[in-house]
Amino acid sequence: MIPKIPLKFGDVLVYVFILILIGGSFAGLHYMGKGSLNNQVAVEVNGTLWGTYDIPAGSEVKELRIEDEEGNYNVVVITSEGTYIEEANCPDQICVNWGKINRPGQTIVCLPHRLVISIIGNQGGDPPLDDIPS
Amino acid sequence: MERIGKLVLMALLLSVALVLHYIESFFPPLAPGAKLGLANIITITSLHLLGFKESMAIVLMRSVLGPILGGSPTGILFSLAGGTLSCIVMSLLYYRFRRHFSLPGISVAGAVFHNIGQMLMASLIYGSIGILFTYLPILMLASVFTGNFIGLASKYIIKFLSSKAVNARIG
Repeated sequence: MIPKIPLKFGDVLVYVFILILIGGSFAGLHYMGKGSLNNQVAVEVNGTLWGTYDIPAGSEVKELRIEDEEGNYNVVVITSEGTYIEEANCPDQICVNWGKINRPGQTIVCLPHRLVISIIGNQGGDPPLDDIPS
Repeated sequence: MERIGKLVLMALLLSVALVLHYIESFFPPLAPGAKLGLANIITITSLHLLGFKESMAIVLMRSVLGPILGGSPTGILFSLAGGTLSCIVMSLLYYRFRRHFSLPGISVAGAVFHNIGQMLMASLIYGSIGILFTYLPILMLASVFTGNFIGLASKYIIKFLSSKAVNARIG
């Protein structure tokens, strides 16, 4: 026997409201993603900062070639849609298959080449979660 | 109810809320920023036993004292924003639209607005509305589960407190 769930009309409204809020949040994020050109891309090699780069506006494409003295290289492409590694001669190719990153805090890591690409927001990164207690 | 009885009941509810708030900090969060909201049981119970003004007073005091006892006074602003918003919404639903809502439904609405209040405050403090959009979906999902749990718990507590044996004592 299936127990009867005492769901009333108002409860359904609450759940509909929740769905709308979730949809609205994703829409808001999507909309903001287009506008957040103030973010920057930081490139770290071997633990030291290689450089930070602005994200170009529109359909402009910025390409960086990061190569060390041993011939290890990664080609990083920065567009307003997202940042990704187009090509690399690392053995595992994980960084190439990583896909695009476009939000502050996201990173691409190429372990064999000790390379870390991360998006840094104009707020200086996300606030620590522990600061939001109930 | 006598004034003194009301005062005692409010003090009792406040202290239970504070203890629940403190105990809750030992539980691992369900998702980043998502908590069970045990203290919300007390808000709902006081909405039933007392009234809007009294519940609001308990929520305000709990929001200020809870973070202080928990050792993170920075949380007061978040707590206040979430607590007051959720209390206002829940009392509106409880006193005006009780016929159309079940207690778990009201509790879910309270949890939802608690999170909205907190995230709005966080967005305000950190100056980026993106925080609201980023955390809201996962928090909303968590609210459905925690809200129902808290609502059911409150239902049984209210049922128990309304029984004759208890009523004779706290009358």
